[in-house]
Amino acid sequence: MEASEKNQFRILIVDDSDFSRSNISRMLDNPRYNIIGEAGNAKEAINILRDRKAHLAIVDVVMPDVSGIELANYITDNFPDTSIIMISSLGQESIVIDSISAGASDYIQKPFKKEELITSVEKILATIDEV
Amino acid sequence: MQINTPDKSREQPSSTIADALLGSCVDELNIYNQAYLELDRPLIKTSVKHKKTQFELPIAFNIDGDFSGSIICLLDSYDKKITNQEESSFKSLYIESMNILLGKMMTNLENHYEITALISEPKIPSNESIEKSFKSSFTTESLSMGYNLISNKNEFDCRIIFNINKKRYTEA
Repeated sequence: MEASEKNQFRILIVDDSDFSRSNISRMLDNPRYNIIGEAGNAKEAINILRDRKAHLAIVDVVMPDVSGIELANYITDNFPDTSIIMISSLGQESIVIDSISAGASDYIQKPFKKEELITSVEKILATIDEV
Repeated sequence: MQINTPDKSREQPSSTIADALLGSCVDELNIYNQAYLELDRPLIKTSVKHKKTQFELPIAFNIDGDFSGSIICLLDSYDKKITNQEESSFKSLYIESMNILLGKMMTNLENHYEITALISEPKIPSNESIEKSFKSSFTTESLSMGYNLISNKNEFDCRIIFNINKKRYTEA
């Protein structure tokens, strides 16, 4: 039985790579999750968040114009009910620290396995009281 | 007595950066089970850069940190069958594969050699800017390596050229 939209976790994917977005979307193809949108940059992401509440935003660090870390700061300040997972091909300590300081709950380095992403998503969604 | 510890990474001679980059290369990389990258030609210093052919798809990244410069990736699509429908998704796969490979190298560089450098988002360079970067040998040192990108039973040759600014080393 499919979960109704009301009982699903709403997730936004933000990455400037079409390939990465569609890959993450495929990994999260599960009745528990509702991908409310895919954004290629920070501006698109903010527009989607203004229209539709998200429980979780999965945000790429390196993006043109506005970085993922700047976007994470904005989401933390303006959409406090949206948790954040940062993703990047870079795994340097300073970026991980900046991401966590910007409000991210987790950081995953690309390329990651489906299980790794699901574990991170479930860990965060477990802290959400109601769906 | 106070001892001022110099920022060693900024004083690395370029040969050390080259050695560290060589040591940071990955032999193979699985890109989400949709493509594989295999090291074909290890990183070497290069003074002769072959011109970009019309079949090579370019993508460029800037590097900044303890050293700076640019990276140009050229994927050879000569004699490969990519339909118009596949072209957009293939390009995206190629660009993300290069992003992941170079991100992994920069991460290894910090973890193994304590040299920090970040790459920018990928950009599509013009032919003019590629030619210009190939010629600027007085200000940059060039290093080149080759990978095979294997996807959908096709094998693509990718040459990856690092143009590292020499100025940063002498400024330190």
